Amino acid sequence: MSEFLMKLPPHQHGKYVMKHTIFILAAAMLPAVCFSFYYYGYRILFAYLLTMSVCALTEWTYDSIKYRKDYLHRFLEFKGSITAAFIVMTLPPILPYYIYVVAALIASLIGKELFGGFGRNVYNPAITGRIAVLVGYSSYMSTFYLPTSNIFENGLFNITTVPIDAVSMATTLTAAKETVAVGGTLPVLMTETWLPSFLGFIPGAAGEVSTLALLIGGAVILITRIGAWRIPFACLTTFLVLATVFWYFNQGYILDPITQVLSGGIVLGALFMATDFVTSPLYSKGQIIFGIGCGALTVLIRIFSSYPEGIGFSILLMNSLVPLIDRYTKPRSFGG
Amino acid sequence: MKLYSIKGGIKLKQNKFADANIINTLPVLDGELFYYPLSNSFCTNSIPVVSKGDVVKAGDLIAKASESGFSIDIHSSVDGIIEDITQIKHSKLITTEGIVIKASEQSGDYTKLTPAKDIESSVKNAGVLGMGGAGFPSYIKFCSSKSQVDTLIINASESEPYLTCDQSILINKADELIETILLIKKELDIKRVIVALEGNTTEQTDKFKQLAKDNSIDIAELPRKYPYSGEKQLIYVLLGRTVKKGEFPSSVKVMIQNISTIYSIYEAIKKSKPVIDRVVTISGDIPTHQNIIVKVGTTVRSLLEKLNLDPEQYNRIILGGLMTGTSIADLDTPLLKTVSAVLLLNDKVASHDEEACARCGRCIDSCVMRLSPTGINNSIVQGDIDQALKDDLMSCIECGCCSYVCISSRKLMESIQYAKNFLVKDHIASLEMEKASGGKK
Repeated sequence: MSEFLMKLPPHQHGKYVMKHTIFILAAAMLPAVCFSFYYYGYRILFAYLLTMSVCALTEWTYDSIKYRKDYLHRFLEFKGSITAAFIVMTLPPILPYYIYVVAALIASLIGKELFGGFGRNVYNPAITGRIAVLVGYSSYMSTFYLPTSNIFENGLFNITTVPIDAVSMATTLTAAKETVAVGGTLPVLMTETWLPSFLGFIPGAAGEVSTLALLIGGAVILITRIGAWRIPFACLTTFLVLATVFWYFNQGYILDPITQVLSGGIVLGALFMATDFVTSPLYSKGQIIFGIGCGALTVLIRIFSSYPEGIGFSILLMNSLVPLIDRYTKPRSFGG
Repeated sequence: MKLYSIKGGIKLKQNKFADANIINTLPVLDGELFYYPLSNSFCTNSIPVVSKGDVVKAGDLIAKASESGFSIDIHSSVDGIIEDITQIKHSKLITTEGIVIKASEQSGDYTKLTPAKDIESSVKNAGVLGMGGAGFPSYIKFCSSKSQVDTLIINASESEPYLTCDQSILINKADELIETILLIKKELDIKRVIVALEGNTTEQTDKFKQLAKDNSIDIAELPRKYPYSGEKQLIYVLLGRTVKKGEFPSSVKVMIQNISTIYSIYEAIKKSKPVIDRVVTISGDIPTHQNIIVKVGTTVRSLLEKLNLDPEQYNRIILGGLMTGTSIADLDTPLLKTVSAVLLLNDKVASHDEEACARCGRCIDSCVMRLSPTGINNSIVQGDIDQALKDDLMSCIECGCCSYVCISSRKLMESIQYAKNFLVKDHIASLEMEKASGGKK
């Protein structure tokens, strides 16, 4: 008698699985990654590859030792590569390579594996890694560069040292904070910075300078419904409303809301980091609360703390509230 | 007709290969064994009224409905001799007590039911069950909906892949169906009848549509989405009425019947014929797909033999649809009144390991009952049945969408089914034990 396969229903499974999600996420990051490559050259490409290998190897080694099982298929899903790419995107473009390694190790070991691996982590691993090196190597973290050329003009093949033709420069947010700190005032509307900020020709972290590239990638994430649209919607709306209110009553001391949105990591954070499905709320009501929290905290940190940027801190803080939010926002069942 | 939209559901590949225009009949062979389980997963055991060695004719009552709980009459579907009353195979219960009949020469006729005074009792005498798959005794629906119901919904949409048996009845038995619908409408004093068809139906159903139009029966064309044909979903989509948790459709003045059930009711009323056969779709990875009338109690083995199909060539046999059917290991499992299809599949089943939930929320988006499959699954895995019950575990209609869409290949519906069938009973029993022991102290 032949053996028939016994299985509980359903007897078929959808074609769409985890590796497709990872692939679409990677594709969504591509515009921003390409922009950073165009802008900062081969050095940043090497940083991406280095961080990805460290993340993937760490996760593979950890899983193999802990579960005594070879998780090659997990390794091949490249879940860690998304985290790795996010780390490079949120760090300043020109850094000693060991900082990338430290950030990648902290992200995958402490941010992910110690919680039980992908899917069980409470905090966004990429932001965990970024915040760790931000606190640990703060002097490097405040130095940003503005390249005077792009790879097509004089190909930055040199991947070992700081390129000589780059100008060290503060970001718009840091510059504004410093100006106000020494008693100066800011223009009410910084209209001349809007276009370069939107396109990305400003100093800033490697992947977050070009709002345009991020919007393209973000659209991919939202259309394929990998990230819930409610989170970036609630986050950016709250951010804009609060920034406008504070700016209206403190003109000259706070940057105008448009410049605020276009500079710093708010767009990257709202579209890519806050929508990370592992660490964001499950239910629609909770997603809106989460988004509002992220947006409001970012404005508060930017205005009232000594840090120029706060999206990373606010996402981490809201991540820790996710179990609580999920608990109280469960929808009612049909007819229940 | 205006349809209300409902959240959730998935699109499935249709694979409707079996031609719905033709219904074949499966012959009965001498000496073939027929199996009649005394219970199904819904009903309590019926009581046998025959004993070993008795000679029965097709249509003879062999087991009577028990007085307690939901239970139905069972009739012999062939002329033959009672071989044994013993433990037999069942697709859902694995083994259960049942009657075995050895077929002798067939006269081709059946014992007619004694005429009853109303539809309810003839449905009861004929042993009509919900033919869609759940197997809810139909007379109870009539009993509970007398003069309380204003709308009759006929479910003729088969959203599961491969299945065309309901459509074949719709095409071939249009006159009979309309006649029965009008009878029920008159007897129960129903104001409105809606037949729910699947969207983009073929032109073969035009005859039925025209007949329905002539008799002022509404036709609703549903979007092709699984599982819009679920009972509560269908009522909401068509009427915008919500059936409350734990209640029956009669609470919102609706009676809902499957199209195959309507045909069985027709046979019971007009032909005095008990449910002894039904249309079954034979499909899957086989060369010839067809709809065929099969006697209740036929084993899968003899069905395949008569159709010249070699079971060795297939690795999975599924009774019912791909999403909700049961896979069987034993070819001696009988086909029952509720089995709408036999699917023979020979495909590579990807053995995905269960990964940790990535909280992507696709199961929540797909759930038509607006549950949180991943949350309930978590509670079940952690053994917290209390929390699972609070999250409305019992509302699950077991459609299987959550497991279908899960990107981490988690066994969501499987765990929920297991919890519903076993863990909840244990949990309630242990709670009662606790209460009892606490009371004594």
